[in-house]
Amino acid sequence: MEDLQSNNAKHLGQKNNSERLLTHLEEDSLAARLVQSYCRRDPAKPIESMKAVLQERIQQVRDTIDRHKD
Amino acid sequence: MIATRIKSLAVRGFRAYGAAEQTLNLPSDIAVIWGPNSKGKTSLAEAFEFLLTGRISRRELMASAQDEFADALRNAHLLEDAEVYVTASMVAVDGKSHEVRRVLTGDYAKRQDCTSRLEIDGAVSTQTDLEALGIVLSQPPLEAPVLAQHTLSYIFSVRPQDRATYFKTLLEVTDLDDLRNDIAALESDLYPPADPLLGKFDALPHKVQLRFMRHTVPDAATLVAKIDEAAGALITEAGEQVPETLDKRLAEIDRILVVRRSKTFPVRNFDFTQLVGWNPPAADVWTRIDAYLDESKKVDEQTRQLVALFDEAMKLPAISEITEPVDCPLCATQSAMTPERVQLIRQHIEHSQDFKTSEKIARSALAQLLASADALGTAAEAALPKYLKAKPAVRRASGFTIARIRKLLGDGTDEIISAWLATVRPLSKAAIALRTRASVTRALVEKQTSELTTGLDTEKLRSEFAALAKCRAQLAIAIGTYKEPVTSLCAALNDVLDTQSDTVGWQNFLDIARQPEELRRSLVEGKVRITVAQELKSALRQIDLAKEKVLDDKFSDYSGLIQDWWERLRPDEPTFFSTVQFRKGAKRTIDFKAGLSANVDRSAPKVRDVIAIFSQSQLHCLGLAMFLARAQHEGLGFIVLDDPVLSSDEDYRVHFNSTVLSELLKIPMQVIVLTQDHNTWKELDLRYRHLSIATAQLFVDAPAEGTLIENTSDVLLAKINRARSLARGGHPDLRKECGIQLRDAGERFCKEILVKERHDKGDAAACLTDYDGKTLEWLCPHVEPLLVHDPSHPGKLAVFRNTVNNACHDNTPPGNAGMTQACGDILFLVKDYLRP
Repeated sequence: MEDLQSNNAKHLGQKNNSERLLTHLEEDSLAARLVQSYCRRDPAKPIESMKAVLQERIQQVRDTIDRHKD
Repeated sequence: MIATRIKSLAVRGFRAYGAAEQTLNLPSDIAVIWGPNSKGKTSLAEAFEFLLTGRISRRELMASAQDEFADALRNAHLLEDAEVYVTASMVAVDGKSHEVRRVLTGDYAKRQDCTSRLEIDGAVSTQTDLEALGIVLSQPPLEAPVLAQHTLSYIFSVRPQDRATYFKTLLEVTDLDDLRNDIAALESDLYPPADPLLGKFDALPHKVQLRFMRHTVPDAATLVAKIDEAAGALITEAGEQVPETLDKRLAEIDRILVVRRSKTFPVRNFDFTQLVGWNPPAADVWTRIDAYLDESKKVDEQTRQLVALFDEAMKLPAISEITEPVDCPLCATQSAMTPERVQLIRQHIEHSQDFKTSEKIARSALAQLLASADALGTAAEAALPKYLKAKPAVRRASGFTIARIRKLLGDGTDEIISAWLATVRPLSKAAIALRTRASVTRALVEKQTSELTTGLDTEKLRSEFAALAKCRAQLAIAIGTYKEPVTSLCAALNDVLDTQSDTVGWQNFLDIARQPEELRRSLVEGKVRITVAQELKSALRQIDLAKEKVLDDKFSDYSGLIQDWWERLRPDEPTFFSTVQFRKGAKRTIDFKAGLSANVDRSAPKVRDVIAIFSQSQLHCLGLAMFLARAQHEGLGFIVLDDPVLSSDEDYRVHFNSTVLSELLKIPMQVIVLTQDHNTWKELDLRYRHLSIATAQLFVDAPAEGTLIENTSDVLLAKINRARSLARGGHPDLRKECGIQLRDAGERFCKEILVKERHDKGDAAACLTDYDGKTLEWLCPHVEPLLVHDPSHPGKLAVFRNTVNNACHDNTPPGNAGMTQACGDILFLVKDYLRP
């Protein structure tokens, strides 16, 4: 259904719900990156892109802890 | 951008429509179709819906009555093999004409949806293909841009929760709920299988001050220092001397722990040594023994006894250096000692030396075998737990009894004890078997060594060592089976003992302290997961807040649009639609608010729920305003409105006919209005004539034939359709009226042909009024030469003229068959020459 809404938005040149949601989220926050990945998701693997964002964040935190403590 | 426009709709066998295909022409942006009650208006609206979605929303909205829609789509009077379809000719967003067709392949049945086949330009297609034509559906249940009476009434009649859900889908934000749920589901990814090391860390004794590491993971050196510090504190607290190094401190803690536990129970009796590694004798060992046997064959016993004598003889130059035969110095036999015999003696001496060397090596190999057997015997003994090595009396005296273990562990632990006991006997048996075998092997090796020169039997030795290896393997299996139950038993026992000896968590401390690097890795990973989990929770809260803002934005947008349409429908009323919003604190409830003002300028309104204060007419009007707002918001190319105005609502109708429709056409949007109100039909025909409004009427001649569509805006086709319905009438007056209609249709056909021919030749000024007053008698001879598509066509027109003339005069009109044939002929010519 979201794709249909995207189509609607394309026809109208309007923002779809996810794009509207992004405008209310802090740029580059985890929430924004998750929503962006949701917008770009592969329909065949809808969750994978969001998992990738989360794994990227996990690695960032891991690196930060190691950088500060070692 | 070009919006999709429907140019015509053809229906066959769908709901009220019968076997004969009925076509609704929609040449302009506005169309109005009149039909009395139960004459197929709603069926026509649902034909649009079926074409676009493959279903009808009425069934979805009336969930409790879904079974009642069994066989509802196929006309009840249709022959079994007749195809049911709806076809639309449309100009799509690509600017091209397309034919979209939906064929019913399976009707609704009890608890079963209908099935259909979508075709676009003759090819089987999908909803996605339909979207490519610019027909993008909304969320269910109102997917198609078709508004019917039952839709409006449904909105305000369902339970409040269902209404909230209904409006939520109407306002299309459920995708954000899906998004939110998908993100929330990611939390499970943050928690991999439990880390045993962290489990032990979390169960450290309270007096061990290391918990802060869960929040702030120190660097590796600090972590070790803190462990060292904690170890020292633990030993001090136990009243013992603190050693210098961490290793020694941990060993001391281990010692104290054992001592304390042993005060309650001799837990060390469970200790056992790992079964040491053992390899069967290497091939080299057997090779060396075999070499000895080979050498021994070369030198017989007598030679071995004479070797000393040979050695001495060869020391004499008179013998060792002879070139001619000499007498034997031992027996004095003349010329017995020849150079050849001396050479033979030398060979005997050499062989005897090789033999001695190999014997030495063989003895060394046998000593290795002996050591190997001894080592296994020792290993078998060491691998046994202490309690199995101690004599029963000594064991009992130390307090190591099963009864004591049961008592310590308490109720409910029989399973642990039984599992352990079940592995003790096999372990004991395997150890004894190995020990016994090792003794037997030892004796054999010793015997073989002592009888080396006379009776060495390598096959027997090999066989014995193979048996020894088998016993060892069986002991290794028994130990493997024993380990898990005894570990569980010890863990349970240690828990009890730790509680009684105030050493709870000490073992955990020892375990983590001995793996500082692994502990740090686990702490970092735990910290990472906790941090990201908190961030994910925070992200979800942000998304929730943002979602509310999106909803507020959308609701605000919709509120504005709904207000606009409301004002067009019911301008200047003191009671007015105010806003659509979520109910505070109840996210599943959507409120529609109305303003009540005592003043003409609507100032100082009291805000109330529309459901409570709006009249049926106002609620109806609000439903229509919402539908129009959505259609405008989504940029739909066309809408179908089935009786959008209540018949009792005259004031509201005026505004709909004028302001509302004008605004919709300005958007621009194609509007198809179905109405039972004849005045509305006439008014719209007059009001929008400048826009070439398409008009049509629905009627039913015979129930079995279903609804007929008369496209009244196409004067020619309208007359033919009217005549067709009259042609079937049995009464002569009806056939006479049919003849009059047909005569008018024939004259119109001829005039249009003549005008078209002149236009084709460049006479742009040609118009129908040029032939005012001309009858078929004048027109037909002028038209017949222009009917060139087939030689039979002029004849068809001539026969048509005769039939019509007979019907229109005073004599009895031709029969049904003749009139029907005349209708068919003129319709054929119209479609072939004017309306392809």
